[in-house]
Amino acid sequence: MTAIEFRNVTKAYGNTTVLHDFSLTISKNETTALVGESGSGKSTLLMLSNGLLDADDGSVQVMGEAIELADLVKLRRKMGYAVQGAGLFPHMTAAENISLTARLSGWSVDKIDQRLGELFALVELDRSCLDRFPHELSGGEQQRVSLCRALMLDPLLLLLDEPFSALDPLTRRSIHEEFLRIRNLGERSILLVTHDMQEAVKLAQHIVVLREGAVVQSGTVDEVVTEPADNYVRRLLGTST
Amino acid sequence: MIRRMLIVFMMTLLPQTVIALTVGSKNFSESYLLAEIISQSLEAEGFQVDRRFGLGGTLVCYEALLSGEIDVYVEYTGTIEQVILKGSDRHPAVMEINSRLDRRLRILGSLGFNNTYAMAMKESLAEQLGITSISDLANADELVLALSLEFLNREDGWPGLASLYKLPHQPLGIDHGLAYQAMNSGSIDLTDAYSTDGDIERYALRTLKDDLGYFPEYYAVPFIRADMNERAVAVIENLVGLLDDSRMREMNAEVVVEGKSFAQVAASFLQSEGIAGREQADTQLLSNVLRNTLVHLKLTSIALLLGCLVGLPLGILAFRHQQLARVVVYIAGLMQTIPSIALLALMIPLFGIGVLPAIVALFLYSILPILRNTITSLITIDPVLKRVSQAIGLTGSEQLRYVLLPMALPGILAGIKTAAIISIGTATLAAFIGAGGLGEPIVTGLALNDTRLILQGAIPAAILAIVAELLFELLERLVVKEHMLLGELTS
Repeated sequence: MTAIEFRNVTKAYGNTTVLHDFSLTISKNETTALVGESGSGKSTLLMLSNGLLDADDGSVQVMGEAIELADLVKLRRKMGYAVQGAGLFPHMTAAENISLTARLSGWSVDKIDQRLGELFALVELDRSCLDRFPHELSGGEQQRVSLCRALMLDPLLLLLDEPFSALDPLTRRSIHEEFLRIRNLGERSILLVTHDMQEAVKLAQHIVVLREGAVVQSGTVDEVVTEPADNYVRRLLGTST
Repeated sequence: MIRRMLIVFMMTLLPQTVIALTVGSKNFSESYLLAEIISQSLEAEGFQVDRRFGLGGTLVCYEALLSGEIDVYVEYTGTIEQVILKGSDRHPAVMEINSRLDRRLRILGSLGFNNTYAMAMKESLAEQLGITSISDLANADELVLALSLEFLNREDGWPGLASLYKLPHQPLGIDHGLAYQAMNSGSIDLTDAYSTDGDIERYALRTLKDDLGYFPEYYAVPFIRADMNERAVAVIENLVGLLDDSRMREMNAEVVVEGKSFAQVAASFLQSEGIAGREQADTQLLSNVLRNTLVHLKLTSIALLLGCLVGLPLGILAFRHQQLARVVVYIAGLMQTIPSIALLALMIPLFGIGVLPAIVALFLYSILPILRNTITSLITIDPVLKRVSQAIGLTGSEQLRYVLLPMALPGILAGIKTAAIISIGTATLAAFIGAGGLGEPIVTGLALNDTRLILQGAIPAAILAIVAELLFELLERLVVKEHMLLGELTS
């Protein structure tokens, strides 16, 4: 089964073609990391997955639905989304940030409260953070709140755009632990975009290495680590200088 | 209670329904006084009079008369001939003017005096330089001339005078009401005056002899609509021929020098002529200021409300489309470059005079700050947050309501505040087109050279602007969270 399928996708920004006749399948219920340097097309792929960008040519299927035909609002609520720097709305408290889509989906106050409790336990956030505004939270707390927001509606698919890159190493390590807990929690497909191969190795089950809009290597973590396809992959792994 | 009974009593005495007439005047003292005389004599005969005094210039008055916004004002034969009829007859007769006027309008016989232009300078300076006639000016090119803008630009004003007398001066433009003070303080030497100006006595000025006979006749005539009620016409015709030059100059001096009110001077004139003049009760200073302030508030708040109703939705519609946003802001900006007095004048052919055109003009001014701030505040929101709001599955209107507008709110409020303060300032000019408000004492004060009166308008207007500023700050504190005001966004 597939979570996302890119079929012969072409995408250009002005005169710069990022993807040309690109095809890739992301499997369901596992964590796939898209790894590459900037300009490799990894973020473009993520934004094509939830319709933030439209493909110039080809098609994108998400959970069996062609994205160009889908009701995007409905589809996006089945996909959690988190970005680098958390992207929390500054005028809302942590609780309001997390529960916004739930409130708009008509959840009861009790149900929201219960879910907030679960999520805070999951990412080890203190309940006192609930009523704080983003600027009153540390970077790590902000990113945990951001993860909670992405998980609020218990989505089948989680799209993460370098969510841990802006954190200091210590905070990153502890939030990685929580991510792994989230990963193992149930059946969920996760697409993680990162430029950090170490992070991909630690968090993902499947790794897709990208370079200038093409797949250099696609395989399980073991395969990529033990048999890097070329020097580019090796360099990303840090095993060659 | 007693007053109300009296009114009811008087109403029963009147044969039919009361006829209401609107009397206009230009924005200088003599025009106010003549309009007041006409108003009181009409009121004495049972007409109800709406006073629209201090209209800004000949064309404003003419357009107002043509459109029926006013029924009568006093104009001068020379002005009608040259400015309105574009003719060049220096001695136009009443019959002759009437035959050429728009058929909807006509003038009555002259009130008696000829208020022509005169060049005036300080008696002492004239004595010292030995200047008695305009011809003498040709050799005195060191004199500083400052002329009223109307005189400076009209055919029968400065251009013709300069070429006939071969005058070398480069005159400045100045508001007529300010010219005497400027001359008194020595910053200018010479200005244009009206031959019946009370100020000529007040400031000890010499009027120079028009030795080449340049200035045309400017007999004061009631300028009325041809369809005016016949009884009213008869009342106004009673005034024909009653005022000669010196009488008029004396009465003007009573207003500008002795500080009597127009109503007082008009009433005593009508009484002396055996026409029962009814002096209006002198209204209290405080209630005057209050009334003007309320009108001012009405003008600005309605204009501001309309500005918000148009500017906010337009800004919200336009911000997603960069090209459209640019065009919209450009057009709104263009509107802002029209000088306010010109914009007000442009409104007259479309909306007449009074409150409506003033509100429309203020509304046009208020759009730009509201629109521009709305668009910029929405455009400059962190693109990551815009992307997130889309990606977590908010519809377009949910994005606006829950994310974009709350984040743009401080900027949008600042735009509305700017619009409010611009409106309060600009609305003082609305008095020129008869909209009243705090500009009314300012305009009258300028016409009378009365600083106290000017301050009666200027001080409340300034206070209003400060109060508006404070109220918006309060509003901001109430609806915007503190950390959003300080700009402390997520790190």
